[in-house]
Amino acid sequence: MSGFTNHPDQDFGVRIHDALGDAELRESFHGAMTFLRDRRRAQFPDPEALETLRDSGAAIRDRALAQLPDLLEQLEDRCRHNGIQVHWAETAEDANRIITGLIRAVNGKRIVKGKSMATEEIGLNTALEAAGFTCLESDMGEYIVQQAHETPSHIIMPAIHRNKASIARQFAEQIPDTPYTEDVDELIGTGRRVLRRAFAEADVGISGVNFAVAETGTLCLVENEGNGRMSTTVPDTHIAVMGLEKVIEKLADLPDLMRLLPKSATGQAITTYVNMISGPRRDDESDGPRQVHLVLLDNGRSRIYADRQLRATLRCIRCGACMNHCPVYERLGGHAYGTVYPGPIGQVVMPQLFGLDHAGKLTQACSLNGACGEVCPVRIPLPDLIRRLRHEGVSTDPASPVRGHGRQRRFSEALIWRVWCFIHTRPPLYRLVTRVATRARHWLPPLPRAWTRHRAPLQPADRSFQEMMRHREDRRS
Amino acid sequence: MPGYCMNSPAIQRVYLFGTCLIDVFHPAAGLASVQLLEREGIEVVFPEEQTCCGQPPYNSGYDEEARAVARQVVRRFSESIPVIVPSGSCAGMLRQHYPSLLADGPLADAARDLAARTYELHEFLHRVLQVRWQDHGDPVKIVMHTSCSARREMGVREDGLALLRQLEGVEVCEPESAETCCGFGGTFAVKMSEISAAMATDKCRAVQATGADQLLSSDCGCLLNIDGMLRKQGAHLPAEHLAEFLWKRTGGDTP
Amino acid sequence: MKPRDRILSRLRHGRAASPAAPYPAPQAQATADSAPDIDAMVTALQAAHAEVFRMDESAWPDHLASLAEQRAWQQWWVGRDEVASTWQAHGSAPSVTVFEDWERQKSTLFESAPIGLSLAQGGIADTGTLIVESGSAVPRTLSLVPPVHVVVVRENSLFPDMATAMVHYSRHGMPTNLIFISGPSKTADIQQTMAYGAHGPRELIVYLCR
Repeated sequence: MSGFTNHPDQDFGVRIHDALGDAELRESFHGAMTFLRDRRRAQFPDPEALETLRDSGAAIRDRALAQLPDLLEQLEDRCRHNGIQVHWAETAEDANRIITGLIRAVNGKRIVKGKSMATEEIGLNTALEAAGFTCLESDMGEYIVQQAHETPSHIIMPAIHRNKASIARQFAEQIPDTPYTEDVDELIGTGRRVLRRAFAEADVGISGVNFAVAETGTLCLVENEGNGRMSTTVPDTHIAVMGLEKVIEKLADLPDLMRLLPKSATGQAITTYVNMISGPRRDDESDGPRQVHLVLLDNGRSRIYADRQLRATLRCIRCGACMNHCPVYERLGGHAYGTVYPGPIGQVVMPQLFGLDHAGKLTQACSLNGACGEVCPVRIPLPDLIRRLRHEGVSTDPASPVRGHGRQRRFSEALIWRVWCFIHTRPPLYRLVTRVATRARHWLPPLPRAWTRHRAPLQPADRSFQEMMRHREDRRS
Repeated sequence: MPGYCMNSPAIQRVYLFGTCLIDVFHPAAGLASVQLLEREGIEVVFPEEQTCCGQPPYNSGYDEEARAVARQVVRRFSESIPVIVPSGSCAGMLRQHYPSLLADGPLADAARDLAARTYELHEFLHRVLQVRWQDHGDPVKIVMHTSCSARREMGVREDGLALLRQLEGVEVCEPESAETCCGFGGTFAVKMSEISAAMATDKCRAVQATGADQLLSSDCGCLLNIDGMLRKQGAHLPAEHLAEFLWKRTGGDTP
Repeated sequence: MKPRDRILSRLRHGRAASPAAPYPAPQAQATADSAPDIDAMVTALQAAHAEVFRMDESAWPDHLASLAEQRAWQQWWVGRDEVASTWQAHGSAPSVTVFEDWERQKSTLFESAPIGLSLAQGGIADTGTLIVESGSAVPRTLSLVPPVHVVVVRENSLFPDMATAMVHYSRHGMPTNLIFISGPSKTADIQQTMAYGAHGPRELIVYLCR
């Protein structure tokens, strides 16, 4: 079973090898990614308008980040005023402790959860299990994945690695009175039936937050299924968990972000539901939660925030477009990364959260082709950040802001670049080396096997370009 | 973006930055680049004191080594004339990355100035010189692979294609999923060789599926990668640098 | 120091140590003070798999009665809004349950409430969105739990786009629960195949009234 780990670098090579060898997996991801890319493209027919909108998205998120501590205080103040109780968690453990405490305080027994990457990040389900609670995932994809004891392989479509036949088998085996069927409507109907009962009986609902509006103390949650509405409306207690970077300044910032998020994520103009929660039920209202809690999660974000360039990481609105367009993600799928956030954004977030000593190798799984940066709706310069983290990974600068910096440095590689640099900053020496390489091209040792296993050996030309140019000059003069 | 106007009469001289891959593996493409420019009446200055743009260590995180090489390029190409680079990725290094790489040193202004006058070869031929060509070759179908840096960092995909479309006898096509990386990525091809090979395999399949007679690209890295795999597979699809192809088709003597 | 203060102090310190100019905002596009595009609303709702009927406000009860007859819809659940009283006064439905006591009626709602009928407080034309505010008249779950949701919305309550809607709520304050609904509940979580009625209504019927 695939799972998240705090040491994604460990066995990364093995996971890569396994993923690449799994034809069914490759087929699933190729189909799904092509589908999502085509849908996104259809939503942004005017390239110029898209660029302006991305400018706006980047500016809105950056403006919020520039005022981050102030907006968090304002958000807390407005939420309290609205009757939402605010909790601050420095680490994943703190967040889990707070949430477990809240559930105990209301004597919660049956817990349902809407889709939330923040709760995946803190490993909430495991923590709740350890505390004696079971928490049922209610997003269809998450439900499928949870039932199979797997982890999501994509941040928007958690069960994207599964085909309908395998889901049909799972349902038939694990849900009583369920015949095998590959009819998607029927499969969803089965999920609906099971989860409906859970919603009706739930006393605690847990959700994530897409945006929190400081101006009004409002938690926004976008979704298509209605499980977000269920989780935040039916149980008596609603606990929302949010990375502290998700705050925005005002309601007027929402429209442009909403024009970017669903289109970038799944190629929808708008999600079926946009929930805007500004408090528990009022006395004159007949339903809705009696308590609403907001858990603000730091978990390393304040450290990311402290670096001018890396701060852009926190603009992320978790749309998943970067992974949908990443040729590496498409071929590996989400599980190979071993991280909650896979793909390009994961390669940037995870090394910063876990440290370059545990997750620095992730940054190597990137050809710097730039497809992710090109589609990011808030213009996170993902390739630049990946390159920066590679640098921090081998950096010997003690002032490096990233945890575990320098821990990816290998003596042999450092030496290679030292020698490389020595040659390439001395043109006469460089010319000598290229002269030898071209003249002795038939006797050169074969290139790394990593290259020649799949490709014919590289063969230098018989004369270098510089040599040709010199001859040309000589002939002319 | 570079500051030269279209067809600017002021341009009489340009630098050529040859790139290390062309220097060692595709010298004919370098020569073709010079000849294409000279035919338009441009004097090509080729400083002998050039090696590489510094991209390999830069992309590996070895910024100090990259910076040392970048400083050398900025100093050697200091005259205020365009710098022409027959490679999207090296041009991208000069234009997009030198300014930030050298931002904190004495060469900051010079790096910005160099970036502003750096052009990818085909961008320069098409947009600035606005060349018009006659085709002299036999009918041929080619498949064009635009590198990711040419496409995204430099935004010059259209330029290469537009030049090819001027050639009557050349049927131009792009592979399916043309915008997808071929898997080269410099040291990525060695460090993450399995992923790289999986990507290259798909690219080779797409390139072959076009039924083209020849593969072209304006980036040597991609060419070495795709062509290397095609040759290993025993496929018969000759690969050539775009500049070399253009020079031959438009009446240049075989370099 | 409390966690809150430690977090805030880290952020303030981080900001002071490496200040950065925020990404520049693009030039604000002139916001057209345009009227809501009703046709766009209809198109967007239909594209999202909703059924839309446009008519004078006086006409919807008769229309809905004949639709109900065709589809054999009998058990109606309503709140205490205007639409509920109009529908009850119309008298065509065999059974109308007023949903007013959540604790008592909750399990029945989940188990055997086939159709919910309510008034939407507004809408957003360009995205085909209905706006449902929480309040004393209608429980939130009425528009969520029954498999069919019939909703009446007045054309004069529509905003042209989300930006104007946000200006409104910024000025007048937010209800405790504000929901934008843009179609029936759906999911594509199984092999990218769209299925309707994931957890909320399978069918959304909209009466756009003049």
